[in-house]
Amino acid sequence: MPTPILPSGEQFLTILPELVLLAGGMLLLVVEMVWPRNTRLSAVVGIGTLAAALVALAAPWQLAAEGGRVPFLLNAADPAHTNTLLSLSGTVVSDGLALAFKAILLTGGLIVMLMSARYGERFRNPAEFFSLLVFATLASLLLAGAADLLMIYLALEFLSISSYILVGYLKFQPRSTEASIKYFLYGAITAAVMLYGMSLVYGLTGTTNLYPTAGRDFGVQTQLQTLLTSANTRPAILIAAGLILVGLGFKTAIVPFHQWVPDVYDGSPTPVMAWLSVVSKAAGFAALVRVFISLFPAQEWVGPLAILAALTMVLGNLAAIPQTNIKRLLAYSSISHAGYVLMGVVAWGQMQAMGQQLTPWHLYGVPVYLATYVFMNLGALAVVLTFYEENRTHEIDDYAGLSQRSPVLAWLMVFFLLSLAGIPPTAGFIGKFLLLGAAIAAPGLWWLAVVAFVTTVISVYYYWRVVQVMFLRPAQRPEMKRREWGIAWALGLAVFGTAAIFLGAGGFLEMFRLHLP
Amino acid sequence: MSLSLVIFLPLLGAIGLLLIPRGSEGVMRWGALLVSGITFLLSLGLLGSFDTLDDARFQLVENVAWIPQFGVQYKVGVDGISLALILLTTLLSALAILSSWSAVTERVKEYYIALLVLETGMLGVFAALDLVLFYVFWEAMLVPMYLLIGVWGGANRIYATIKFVLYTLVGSLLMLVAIVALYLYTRTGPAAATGSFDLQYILAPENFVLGSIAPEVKRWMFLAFALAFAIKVPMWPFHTWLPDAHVEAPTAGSVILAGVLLKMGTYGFLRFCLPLFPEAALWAAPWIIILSVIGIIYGAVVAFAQEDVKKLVAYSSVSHLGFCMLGMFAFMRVAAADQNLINTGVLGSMLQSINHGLATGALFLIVGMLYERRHTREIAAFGGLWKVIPVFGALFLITTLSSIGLPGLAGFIGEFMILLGSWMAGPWITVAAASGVVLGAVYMLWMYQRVMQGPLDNPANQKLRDLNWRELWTLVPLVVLMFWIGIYPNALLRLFDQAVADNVVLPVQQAKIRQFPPALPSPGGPGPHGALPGSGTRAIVAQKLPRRPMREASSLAAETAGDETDVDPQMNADER
Repeated sequence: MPTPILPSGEQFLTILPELVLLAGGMLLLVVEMVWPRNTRLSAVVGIGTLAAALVALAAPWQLAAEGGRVPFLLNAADPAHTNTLLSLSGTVVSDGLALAFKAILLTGGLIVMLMSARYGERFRNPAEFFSLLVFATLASLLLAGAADLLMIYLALEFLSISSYILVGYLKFQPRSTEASIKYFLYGAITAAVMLYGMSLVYGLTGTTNLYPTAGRDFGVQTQLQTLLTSANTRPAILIAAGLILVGLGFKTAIVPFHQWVPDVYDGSPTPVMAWLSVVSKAAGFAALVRVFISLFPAQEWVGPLAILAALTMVLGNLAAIPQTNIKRLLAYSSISHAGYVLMGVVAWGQMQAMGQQLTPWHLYGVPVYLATYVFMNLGALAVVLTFYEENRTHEIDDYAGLSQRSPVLAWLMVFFLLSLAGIPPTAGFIGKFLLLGAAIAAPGLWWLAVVAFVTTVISVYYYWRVVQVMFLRPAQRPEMKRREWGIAWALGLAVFGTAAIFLGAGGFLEMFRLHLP
Repeated sequence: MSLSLVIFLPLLGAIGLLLIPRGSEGVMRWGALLVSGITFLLSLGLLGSFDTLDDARFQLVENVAWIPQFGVQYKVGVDGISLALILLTTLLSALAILSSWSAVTERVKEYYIALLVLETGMLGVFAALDLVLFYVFWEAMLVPMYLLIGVWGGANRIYATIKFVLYTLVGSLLMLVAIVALYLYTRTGPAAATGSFDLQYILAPENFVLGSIAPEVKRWMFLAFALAFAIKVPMWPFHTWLPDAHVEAPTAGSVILAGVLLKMGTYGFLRFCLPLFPEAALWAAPWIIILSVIGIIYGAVVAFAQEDVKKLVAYSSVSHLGFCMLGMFAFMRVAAADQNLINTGVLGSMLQSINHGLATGALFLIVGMLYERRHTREIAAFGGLWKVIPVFGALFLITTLSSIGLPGLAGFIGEFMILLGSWMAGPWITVAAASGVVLGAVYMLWMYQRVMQGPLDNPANQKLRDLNWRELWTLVPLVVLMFWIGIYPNALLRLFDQAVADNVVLPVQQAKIRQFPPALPSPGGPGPHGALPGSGTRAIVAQKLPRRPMREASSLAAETAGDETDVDPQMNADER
């Protein structure tokens, strides 16, 4: 069934943001050679690259929108769209999921870049650090738009290798190096396991393309649907699903693939931690949604993944309670947020398993939550970074009296923590509202909503403890003076996002409208 | 007068205060007072544009789409019940700001900002007609209240604040779950495309929202809402956060907490629990009545043992709010035969809410004044103060008497109507509750006696100064209102009489008729159940202004009968 596909020029338009990032990353390496140790210049180039990529995202967005409403998740049963949305031999897709996640990833990358504008001063070659950040973001974009098992694997490895270096970038600090090694060991093993799963799928289906594309009228999706009906091949497919979950679960940090998180987050440079906890996680979720929702039978994985989601929420939140270090606290909280998002994925799968029509809750839930998470978590980490740069400590006790030492910073922290806890008037409320709604609307998942509700109360306890320390303990150090433009912009963007998504929730959801059926 | 302006003016004032530089504290005090004063005047203005003859209808409604994809709206509006509570809120907020003039000297800027933000949250709660908006305002109050107790509170404040926050959150998150669950049933009527969180939409029988929910599901939803509100009220046994929060809170915090925040619990029952889930309310009524009576007696007995004036007043709140809950639920147990005074209990409950706000608010102000002078609240540290500060003593006495329900003062009317309403539900309930009144009189008067009367034996008390003008001005409005309500309660009852009858009692009565259909339907005259809701009020409130035409009893019967056939649209469709 060969049908006309996009002209090759337009095919490259679909990856225009990626191309911009590639050029920017290369440019940064040149900058390092010509103007060594020029943090300011390289930061400006890095920020400019990400901003330009964000603008360039308009191109694939426009291209996708030309054919009318775009499906949120491409389906092989929809040949009209498989031709317009797939490009580059069917390896890249620009459906609603890919575009929404690319916007989220680029925004996250931009805020992280702003945060690290001054941070780079401590490195011997700052431009290299920035270029790694740019490349890692490029990898995350590729992952979000990957429509081929090999592409998913390559993007994931690209993402991981850039991250290993970034985590260990404070190379004279043993903690940073240790974190890097840990991350590498975990990453290498889980990636190998995932590759094994993918090889199983390839062996069964004879293709790595997820969707049928020009010149070939079958893809993994269509092949699996036939194979699933056979009792001989079904177990193999389920094993493959389990193996692939290992790799994606590692990226998204869901229990039981989360053990690396606290040590790696704690040991890595704070902007890198911010990047890992938001951008890398979101990219992992993009791949998780695509692989699990569109490839594997939801009836089979909804149950196990629901249990993993519950465990992730419970464990992440309980383990956060005794933390005394703000970075470790936010690391565990980031695990728990992965649990909430996974709950959204599970609810989506449940609707599919029951053969019910998807409601806006299910379509909006996951991307909107991750979008709010970008702003609120990066905001909180920007405060943590600002605090560290002046006080050189991450201990929660040292935040005592921050409300007097720097009222603005303290209030911003309250705002972001409230949002992380999902309390209005913040964006986090909108996100949690949608995910809770998705779980309640899916038949038979009310218990997961109850788990989310109980763990949210727990999360309030430990977020609130930070507020207690900032507001109710007397200050022991002088007023904070340091001002810095990069972080100021990062904080500004984060506050704007966190407030605007709440106040203009209607308009914000309208941006995702593109993908509604 | 725009309702949104009243709601958000305090928030605008708070933003204005942000711009005032640190140090100019006088400006901030006057600024905050000015903003809250104007808000109070504007809310009085609302009374002017409110059609009090039609107080059951939601008026001054403002409606803007907020999240149209899910049918979430910014929708505010008032009926008689919410308007009365809005007036109470704006008054007490202004007085709370006036009362903190000399009590708060640290971090003045943040203090007034917190108070003003809190005021916006409270007003929003009383005006919201969209369930999500209601939830947003409900939670938005958490932070300012937390800061008020946590930053400017007493020694044990950290414990008190975390308890307050966690208790409130447990309830409110469960409520959020119930709100979403309720929403899922709204995707049936005219708003099927997006669903709706609009209270009026959900309540309208022609939309088949409530009718399509299974009774067991309704019970769960009722319980989720009720828990959130019961914690706020607080009902025994969910009251344990209250004494801690009260004792640690600064005076203004206590005034707001007792005067307004607790009322949000009773308001939630009146506005949401009863009209939305009347069958479940009928089902839960015996238990809630029992818990209320336990609360009444428990609060009174524990208040006896208190050494600290503030804690005593806090426990008296548990007791008084028990009355509110009793009045609200007692009418559900009234046998079908005597439905005459059916509204009385609920009206009394609403009145008691207002009275409690005035009297307990004033008591906390008084305790705050004592504390400012002596820096202690131990009852034993005082004695014979009347000789030194007679003006203070007189106002204290009036407030105490109003709180214990002396006829002629506000407290009496509310308690009397509640007892009257509960008598028909079961005399034993009234007997038990009335013993709470007696106990209340004893512990309050005993406290008054130990503080104000007796020998002036503590030398530290001999040179106390009497009230200054500012303090007088914080107390006098409350005392005047106590007299006014005590002597002429009609003025207030008229404001929410019809709203209570139509928006609260009527849905429950209809549910009752659905559950126990009348044996002999007599379309001609008022049958055994045909007594018009509201007629009971009319018996008590003898003089009334001309009102909109009363509905015929038969039309009510027809309405309820119509409801019955419309209960299950699914079934009808099948039959067709």
